Amino acid sequence: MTLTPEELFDGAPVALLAVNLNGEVLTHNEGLTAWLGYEGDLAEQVMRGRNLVEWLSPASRLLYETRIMPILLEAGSVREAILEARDRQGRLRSVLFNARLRTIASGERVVFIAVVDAADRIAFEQQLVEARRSAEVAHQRLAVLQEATSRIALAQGTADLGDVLVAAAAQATQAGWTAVRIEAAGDAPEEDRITGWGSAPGGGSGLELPTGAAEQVVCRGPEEIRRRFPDRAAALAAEGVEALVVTPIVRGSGEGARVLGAIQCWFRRTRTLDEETLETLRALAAQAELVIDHLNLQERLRHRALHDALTGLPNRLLFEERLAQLLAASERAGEPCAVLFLDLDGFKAINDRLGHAVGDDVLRIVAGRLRATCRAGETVSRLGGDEFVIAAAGAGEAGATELAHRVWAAIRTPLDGPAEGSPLSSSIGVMCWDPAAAGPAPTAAQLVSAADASMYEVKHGGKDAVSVRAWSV
Amino acid sequence: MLGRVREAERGRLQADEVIRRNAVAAIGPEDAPVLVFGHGYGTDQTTWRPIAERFAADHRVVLFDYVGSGASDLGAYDPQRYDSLDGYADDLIEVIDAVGARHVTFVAHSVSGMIGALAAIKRPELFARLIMVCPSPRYVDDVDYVGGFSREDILGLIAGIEANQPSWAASLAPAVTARDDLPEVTERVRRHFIATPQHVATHFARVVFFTDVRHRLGEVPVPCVVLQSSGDIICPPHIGAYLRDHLPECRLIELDTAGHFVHLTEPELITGLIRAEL
Repeated sequence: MTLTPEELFDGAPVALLAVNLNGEVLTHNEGLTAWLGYEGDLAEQVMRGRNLVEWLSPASRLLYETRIMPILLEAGSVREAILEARDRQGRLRSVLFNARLRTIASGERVVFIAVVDAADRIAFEQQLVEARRSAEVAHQRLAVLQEATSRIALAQGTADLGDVLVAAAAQATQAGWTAVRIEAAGDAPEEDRITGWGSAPGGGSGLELPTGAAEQVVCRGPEEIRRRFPDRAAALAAEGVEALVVTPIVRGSGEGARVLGAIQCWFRRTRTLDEETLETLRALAAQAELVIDHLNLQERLRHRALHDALTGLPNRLLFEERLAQLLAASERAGEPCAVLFLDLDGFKAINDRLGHAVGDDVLRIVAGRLRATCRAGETVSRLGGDEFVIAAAGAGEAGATELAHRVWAAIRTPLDGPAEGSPLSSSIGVMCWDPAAAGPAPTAAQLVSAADASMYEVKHGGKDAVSVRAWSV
Repeated sequence: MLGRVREAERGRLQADEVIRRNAVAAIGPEDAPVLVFGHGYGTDQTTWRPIAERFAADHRVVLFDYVGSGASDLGAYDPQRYDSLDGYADDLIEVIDAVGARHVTFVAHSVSGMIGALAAIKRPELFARLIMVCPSPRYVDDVDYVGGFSREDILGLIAGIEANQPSWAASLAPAVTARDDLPEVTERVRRHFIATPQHVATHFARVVFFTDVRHRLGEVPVPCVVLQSSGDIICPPHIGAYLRDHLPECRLIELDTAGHFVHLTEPELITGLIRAEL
């Protein structure tokens, strides 16, 4: 018995076909049409001039064009690609697809294809792939949470906590912007009420969302944003935000729930935001809730150790630390700096005549005036009693003199309240240090005591004045 | 302040770092008008190379790979940056800055068309015109809009990429022998498809096929030309007319040829059409 190549071609248990580069069927064997469920003349009519992709599911069409064609064109062949084909009844069946690109005698490029039905095997393989994928996703989420947990354990304050949460949330969601807000504890001093970390759309200018809700807010697309945040939707859209999720950091639940802050993520495209991602964010928020009190307490204790309880100003310890830093920085930059030593005139009389409570009040008023007079880069501190010091970065003799006169004038402003009418002024000694003129830096203590000496000259010379001197070895 | 630190680091990116990161290749006279070619999803700069070389006599021709594709530095793949087309638009802007070009003609296949549109909105002075080959502002159907695919179709594509990754990686080695005439190309393709992690391939697919650029089209500040294939699986023929009607300045050229990779299947035709625009 002999068999012709044609009989082999049509009898083989595999679908064979040839298509041009656009996918139009040039020829095929009977295996293909039989497999698709067509026979005889019908098969011929069905196949001629049709495009290969018409028998593929939409997803497989995309795969064919974006993943298979590029490889075919570059490498000349593709082996064992998995595609979904649709038969005459419309059933989708997984096939193994092999193809090679050849230039035939006429000079045209032709794709030769062999397709094998492998539905059961592929279904099994896909289960394995799916299992591996879910395992990988679970592993990644666990890794994010584990890293966040160990970093939170090392957090020195709420600022560290904020940074950890921003990094972990960004890693878990790949959000375009991630920001964390934490409400400072009720009695935290004003200058330490830093409550935001990360970045928000529009540089954070008013696009932060209300964080009062105790439930996670999820907007997966622009339409959901418009419904949930009608007044902010336009501004968010202008920044390119198309999806967002706000995860509150909550203490307690139900009626008694208190919102301590929120993890906010904004996305530049619509996002699925599956339950696993949302759960990761909630787990991060729950971790934060557990440590916020502890960190707030730590911060309060640290604050108390370094600040004057009466005025809230930095105490001597913190002042000397900051001044030492300033001296080192000035030396590096070759820039001058100065210390102002200030002692109140007339304070003892107020204290004796009106009592300590009024005296304390006056000290708080003075602290407020000094704060208001000084700028960023100038540290105000109360050393004790009615003595205050100011460290001024970048101040030469002229600048320091100008600052001293502003301070002097501010203290002389007539007092209101219980001490109204009591005269109050100040004796100010200024000591400037210019690395260009005076050589190596003095220590913080040396500069303060030199300014103190300068202040004493004013006291002995009749009070209520300013004396400015330059440090020299 | 993590985000801001990152931004600052990015600002310091040197030209040579971008050139390495995006595998930038520039050929042709340095003072000639500049043509930049952008590849689409699933491919890299080699798909443009044969056409690009034909312009090298009288143009400065720039080819590159987006981070995550081709010979780019996979280590630079930051999932946050590349979670939207904006990250890819930043790649394009940084490449043009790195070669010191202005007023370039950007020839863009597939998703590069919308990447070019976003880059031109951000930095109009970099672009003289955009030539988009088979572009689409949105692939998923919407109310009163036919993109060609449903959400489930796209999720199916992503599942398909995942399902195919193991068998491809395993079977590519023997497959590449099919092109004995071009050993360097086959080696590069093999390396690429094995080295490109699945998560980059699927993430890029999500970004490309779930992106909607329709609402930004009105802002594109430079003239555009759309080359629309007659039977494109990825991008149905009516998309060309949609872009013409929604881009402020756009000419539509309908091709008498099918397929999404017209620059590969009809290089002569596409070369001629590009030259006619210059």
